Amino acid sequence: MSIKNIDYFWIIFIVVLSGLIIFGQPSLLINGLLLGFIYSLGAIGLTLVFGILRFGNFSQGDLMTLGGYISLSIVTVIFAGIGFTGSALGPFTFGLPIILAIPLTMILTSIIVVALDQLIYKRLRTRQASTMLISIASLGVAIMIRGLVQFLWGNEPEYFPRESKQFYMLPLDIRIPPDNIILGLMAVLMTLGVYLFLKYNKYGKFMRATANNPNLSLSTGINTSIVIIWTWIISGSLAAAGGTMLAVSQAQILPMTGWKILLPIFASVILGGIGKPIGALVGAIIIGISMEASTAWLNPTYKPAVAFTIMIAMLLVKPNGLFGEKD
Amino acid sequence: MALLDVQNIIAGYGETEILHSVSIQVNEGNLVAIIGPNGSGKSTLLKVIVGLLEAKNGNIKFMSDNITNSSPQKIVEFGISYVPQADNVFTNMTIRENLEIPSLVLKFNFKKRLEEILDLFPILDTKMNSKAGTLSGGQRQTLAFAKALISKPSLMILDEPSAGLSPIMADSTFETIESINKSGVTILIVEQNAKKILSIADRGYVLATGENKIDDTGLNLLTNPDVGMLYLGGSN
Amino acid sequence: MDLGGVLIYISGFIIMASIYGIFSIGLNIHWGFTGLFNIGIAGFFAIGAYSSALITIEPPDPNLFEDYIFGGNLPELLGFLNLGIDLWFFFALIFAGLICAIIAAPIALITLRLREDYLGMAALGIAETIRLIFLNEAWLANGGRGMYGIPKFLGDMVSPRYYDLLYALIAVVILLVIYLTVQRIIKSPWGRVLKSIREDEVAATSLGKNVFAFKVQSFILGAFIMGVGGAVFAHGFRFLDPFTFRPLLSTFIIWTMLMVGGSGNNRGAIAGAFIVWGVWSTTQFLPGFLSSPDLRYFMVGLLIVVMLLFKPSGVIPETIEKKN
Repeated sequence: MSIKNIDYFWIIFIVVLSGLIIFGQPSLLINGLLLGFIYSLGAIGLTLVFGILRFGNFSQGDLMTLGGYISLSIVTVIFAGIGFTGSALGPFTFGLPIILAIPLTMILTSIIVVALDQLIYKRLRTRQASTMLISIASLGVAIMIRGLVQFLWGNEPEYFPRESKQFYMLPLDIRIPPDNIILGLMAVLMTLGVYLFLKYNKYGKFMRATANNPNLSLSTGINTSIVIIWTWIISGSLAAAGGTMLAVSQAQILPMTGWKILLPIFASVILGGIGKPIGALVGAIIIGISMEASTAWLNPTYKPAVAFTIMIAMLLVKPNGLFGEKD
Repeated sequence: MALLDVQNIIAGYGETEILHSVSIQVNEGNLVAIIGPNGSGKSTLLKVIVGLLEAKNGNIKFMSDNITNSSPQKIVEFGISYVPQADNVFTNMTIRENLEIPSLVLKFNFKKRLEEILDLFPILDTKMNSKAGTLSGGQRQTLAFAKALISKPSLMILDEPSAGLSPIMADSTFETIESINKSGVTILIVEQNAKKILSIADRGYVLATGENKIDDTGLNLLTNPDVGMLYLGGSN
Repeated sequence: MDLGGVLIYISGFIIMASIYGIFSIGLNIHWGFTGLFNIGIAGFFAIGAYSSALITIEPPDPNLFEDYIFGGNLPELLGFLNLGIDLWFFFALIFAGLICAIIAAPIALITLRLREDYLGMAALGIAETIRLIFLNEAWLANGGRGMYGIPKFLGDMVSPRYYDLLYALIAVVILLVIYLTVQRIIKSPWGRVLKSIREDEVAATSLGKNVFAFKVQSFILGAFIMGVGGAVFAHGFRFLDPFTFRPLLSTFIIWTMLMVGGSGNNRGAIAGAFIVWGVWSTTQFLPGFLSSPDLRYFMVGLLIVVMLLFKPSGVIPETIEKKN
């Protein structure tokens, strides 16, 4: 990070923080932070695909939705079917079933996205289709996933099995749902896992190399086909986990749940810099906090517009993002 | 038998044909140069050899293996290292990581080879944890060489390594190339600086407009008046 | 079989297909001719429709507790200027187009310098913000309750039952007028420069053409057309609410139409509109679950992917003109 990058980050951070203190709603800051961690799971996957496959995956939101619905089905149909139910753990509204469903959903969703890549995106890559065409294809995929979700689960909200629990009441009138804390923590751990994978694992290094220079990676002997598959596995798993956590934190899931956060996720990625996972995390936190904080003085339905405005501002001021290269 | 035997390569981009049946041979232990005016297809030929561009026709043999249109990954496995002209290091990764990648691809002992490489290029030792993007042009060139050498290739292919370097740095580069060759690595090199490269090359090929024109020993080509004509005249 | 009923149904189909044809032409100008990834069509759809509605609707009746505060009442305002043939309709269409063009200008200036997929996301964000504004600011256009009673064009000429037949004719005529006008524009010097930019932006720049200015103008032109399309919709449907302008049926289906019909040529755009709307409408009649709206949703997405994979040039491929 150069000095310039640090300046931007702190300026934005301080502005947002001051705004919050002025309006006296610190609980929005905390909840926004935790939501930001959940968004980051979608943002990291998106930024990896941007960096390595070089296109904007417009189906990322709907993949998160799919993950959420798959988790729900695993818990309410499969687990319940074999008699595995669990009461809520500790102060959280959910219990073991959901926790164990998440890894299963991650695996299933990974398989689905890899299949989508091999059937659709790979064909377009071989044909050397422009990145725009591949983005349009991902739009088509998004609509397909949404239609399928609506067809299989209907348009009404579905509810995760939960027990009512107390919010944590902290000084300064801060109310925090305990769920958000554990979900935020789980998201941080997954992000850390991805970071360690990219830094130390052989294929993590190959992924970083491919994102930096696909041609050089090829001529250095890296098997970029496997790199691509790993990219989708990570992107798909995180999306599935993120979608599940989002649904749990909202206590319900709808077919549009993921699509609704596509804009904030894109904004996070652009904010942080395309292809930079740390940027995606930081960007998601800033977006999460800003969106929640805005509800203190702005109609909550305008939250996406807040994310959008920040994204446009970033694109005008420093299009490569906070952690991106200098222009 | 030549180490690398390239026969009658026809290749190009899309509808445009750039190479119209080009052939070269590289003998083991030699330093072979390909020279010629801009646009003659020199870099294109290298890309075909290392599998980055499809050969529409022709044959490439390496030792006794047919490597025509192999994937770049296979080329590396055959023991051929390629240093492109520009963008030849991973700028977002440290020097150490750049050097480590070949060992991960070919699965050899990194620590041992790293020591040997650092003996050859001590300047890299001082910046092992710096990102390659922060290096100067000459340092990047050195890193690109080191990265290609660390795998102990049988054949090293270089594309205009002196391009963009100051004359002093360029001279240093040629010295390095010569000493790498003397240590036993076969080198195939495309160069713009004909004089400099021919004076250290065992053999040279002159390419123009995608065709073989002249080939001879390095020294003979240096003193051959036709070579100058081909260069200055460009295409016929 | 009730012939009247069938005719009414077909008219309804033609109205929507023609409106979508107008939008496809607009999108073609954006994407086919200028390479702009505008996935925010819904924004111009909404603005065009609401603008036309607001300028023609009667001012709010204090007895009815309407939330909106402004009604242009154009039909009454024009009075005899209507010349007995409801000329207000054409003014409303132009007005809608102009409003969209005016709003498109700053959007273009800000976003058109962005890389293509960023532009897509920006367009999406803008469209979504516009929708949210119409939803939340009830004083603007009655918010979620929607606007009723949008005036009928030439409503007195035909009985209400068969009005759709008349409007279908009107919609087709408007579509043709737009088609012919755009074709003229394409063949004009301005159009030729646009084409040269699409073919080789670098060459065009080196010839001194201000590429950015052309892109902005192209964006504004496409937006104007989309505004007109929205207005035609408003007076056909005569009821508007923010939920009408959700992404699938006001943005993505139009993309599907252009992909299917053939991006880059206007006949393809119109063909795509009729084909895709035809498929969409007839799948209504499939037996059982096959007619489920969710499956139709799925099919729109599938169509996009399939067309991209197997027939990227569309049903009516662009004829490649010889270079000058």
